[in-house]
Amino acid sequence: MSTQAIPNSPAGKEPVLRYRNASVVLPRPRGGDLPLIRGVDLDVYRNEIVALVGESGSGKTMTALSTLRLLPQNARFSADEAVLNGHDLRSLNARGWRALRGSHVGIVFQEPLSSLNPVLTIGDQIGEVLYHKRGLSRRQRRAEATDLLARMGLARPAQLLDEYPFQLSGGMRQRVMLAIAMAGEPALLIADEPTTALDNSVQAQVLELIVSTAADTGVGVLMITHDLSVVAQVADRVAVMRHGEMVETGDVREVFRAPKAAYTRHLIDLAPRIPAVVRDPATAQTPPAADAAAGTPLLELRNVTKHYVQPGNFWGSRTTLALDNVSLSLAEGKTLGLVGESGSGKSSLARIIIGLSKPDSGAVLFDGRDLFGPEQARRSDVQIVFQDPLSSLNPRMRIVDIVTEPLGEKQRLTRDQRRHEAETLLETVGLPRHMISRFPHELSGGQRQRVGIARALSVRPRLLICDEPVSALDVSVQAEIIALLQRLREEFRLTTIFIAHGLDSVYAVSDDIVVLEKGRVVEHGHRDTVFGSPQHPYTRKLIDAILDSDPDNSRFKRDKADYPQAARVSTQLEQTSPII
Amino acid sequence: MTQSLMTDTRLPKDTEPYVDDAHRQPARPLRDFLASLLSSKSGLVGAVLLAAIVLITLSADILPIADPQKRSLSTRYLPPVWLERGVIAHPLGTDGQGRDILARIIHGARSSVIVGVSAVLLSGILGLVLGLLAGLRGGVIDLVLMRLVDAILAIPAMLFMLVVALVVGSGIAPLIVVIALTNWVVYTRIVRAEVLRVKDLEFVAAARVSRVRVTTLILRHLLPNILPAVVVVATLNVGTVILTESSLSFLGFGIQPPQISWGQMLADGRQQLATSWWISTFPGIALTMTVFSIILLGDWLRDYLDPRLP
Repeated sequence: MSTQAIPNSPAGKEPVLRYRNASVVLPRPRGGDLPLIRGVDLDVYRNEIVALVGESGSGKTMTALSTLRLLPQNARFSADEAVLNGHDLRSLNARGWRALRGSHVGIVFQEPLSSLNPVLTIGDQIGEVLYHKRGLSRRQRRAEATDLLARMGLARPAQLLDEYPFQLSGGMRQRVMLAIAMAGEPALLIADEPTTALDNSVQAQVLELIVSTAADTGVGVLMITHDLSVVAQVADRVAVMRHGEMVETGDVREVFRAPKAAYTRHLIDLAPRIPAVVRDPATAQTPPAADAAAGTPLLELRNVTKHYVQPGNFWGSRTTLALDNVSLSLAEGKTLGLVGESGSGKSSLARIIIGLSKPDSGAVLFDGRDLFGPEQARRSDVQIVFQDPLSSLNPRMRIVDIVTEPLGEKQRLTRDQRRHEAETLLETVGLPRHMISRFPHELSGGQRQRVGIARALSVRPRLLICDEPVSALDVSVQAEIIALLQRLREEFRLTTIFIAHGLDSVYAVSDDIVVLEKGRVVEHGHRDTVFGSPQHPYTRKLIDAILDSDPDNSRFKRDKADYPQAARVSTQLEQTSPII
Repeated sequence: MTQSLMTDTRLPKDTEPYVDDAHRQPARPLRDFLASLLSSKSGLVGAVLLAAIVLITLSADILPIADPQKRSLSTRYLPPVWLERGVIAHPLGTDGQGRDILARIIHGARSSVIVGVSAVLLSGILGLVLGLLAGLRGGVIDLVLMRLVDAILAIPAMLFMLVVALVVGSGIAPLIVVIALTNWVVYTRIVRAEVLRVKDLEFVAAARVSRVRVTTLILRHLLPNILPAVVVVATLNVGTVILTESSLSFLGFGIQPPQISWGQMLADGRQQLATSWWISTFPGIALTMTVFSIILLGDWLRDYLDPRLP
């Protein structure tokens, strides 16, 4: 059934998915309708990657999920035309939907760990699709699953069949997810933020795989993403959504070259770019040499080592090395960018500098005094802005109490002083004064992060650690928060440590950069030196993995008639990291 | 990123119509509390029910009801008034010794509710303290406490309580202690699990960076985020505890005649269920209503404590 040909579409003239004026509305409990998407027109052809871009709440996921009828309960779908691979989506019953899912549409979700069943083997999970959608026998299923895994670029596919999801890395899991999605030989593949949860270098490999899968099988891909660099790199066409409506659709190069909508232009302006110095090391600014000699650094780490003990069971525990002999220094007023993949020790380092954990050995000197020594430095001089603006604010406290908490109980502020202080702090971070009596859940993500910044600033710190301060935010909000941090840095004469996984943003804000790999500092220097002429292969690998938001400079795109310049230049990647 | 564009797109997002938040300050906490209670269906029903139960219980001595201890051979096994043979003097019938059921329910409420509520409070507080200790300190303390919890859970509860009751004796106060000593493990487990969940959230880390005192950390950051789970379990627990009281009383520990408890009444009527169902049914209904009202109140209380709910 799944192998049936798509009517009238030998050359891909008939789209795999065709939406005209599609809407999804959710009835409100007290009457009225809440439109989730409105008047969406969308086509996806065979052998084509269409990117659906937008910020949270734009309706991009809702649009994609409507092709599988994975909508919230009670949600109503309507359209003038909604055809998927020759089936009219408006007239399907439950049985029709079941036949459609898997065999005509496959889906890859964002979080590969939670989208795989932890108690079933990989083989079982692929076999399930092969059994129900293609009716293969046990032996055929095993052979086919092995073949699928091999095509997804996984080494030793036969053994993988008997392993469980927890035994695989994030990138491998996402490949398995893709294998499951492709097992029913669908005509349309939906990829919902497939690389957002992955490290940059793994992201490139998974994108590469999606592009080659589309090229090899002719499947039409609908890729949902918030990241314009991903769009530029892999998409043929792009559809921009905002507030449930389609803002702009078009060829990816035309949209990037001459965006019609102001919103699209805004998003493109904010999209990550490879710093110029990477391509042309000659443009590097020579680091001011005089600085290095000037006085004692504000922060200095000497041979800091930290192990973490995992409790394990009654009989024993395991220790993992989080930081291995880390030394670095940071001059007053400078910004240090901390770079590395997840698990490289960035956050462990931040926790030690902030005093949340103690190093096993080594010293942390702040303004010449040991933070963990007998005569301690003033702790409130070091403050931190956390990653998740929701979990970093106590849901049961009002903003006024949250931002003034670091001022401490000892200072004995009166209620009015506290109120006044909070209002001033909110104004400093660009929030209206009246928000002080709100609770965190009444604010947007960006507003919450501003509250987090206000809290850190309340004690007038000298060193501010920003631990992935924008990773959980929408693209346009990210830019606002970064701009705010830049302004406050000057206003408060802050020395900052900036941790982020987006290398382009680290480059943009930092003076110096430290590259961490498995708890070791592998490179430490001026940003232009590190980015322009990376010395360590790990640094080079990280930099190579930055995706440029320029469709003309795609490393993935296939050679197509209409993309003459595009070429695949991912050989570098394959060399440095064989298979995951 | 051009500056003009940035502000353009920023406007609709971060600037909202000015809302005067002054009314949100809890200027009159009592009024807010009552307003919330009155506007919640479950809270209102629970509160009215429980208030009625408490009121009737407290005024047991002045209500125009029969003497709960008066026996009479001539009035044995009288059915409720609406059945054949029923008499108006004994509206809910009589038991095997001719005692008035209604009077006994009202007088028995006192001991049952006192035991239920105090045993839950005592074990809840004990469990809360030990759970916080285990979750926050970890290490050996956690290990020892949790193995103790496992041990108590592994021993049949009734057997354990009988042994403790042998040592501390019978009566209302010992009964409360006996139940609390077995019951705290439930709370310790929940509190510990909640502490482990909450203590690694970033706002706790932020509070530690702010150098707040440990007591502040617990009272302001941990407890408010842990209590909802405890409140839910506690309200359900009251019913179980009242039933435990009845089992213990039935076995001869706990509340002994002439003191009356619902548990005793349930046990008394057990054998006559087929012929004189009213002896145990009405105390059972009283127990259900009490537990139901407490659950409803607990439901509302949990929502009231959560600022995220309107």
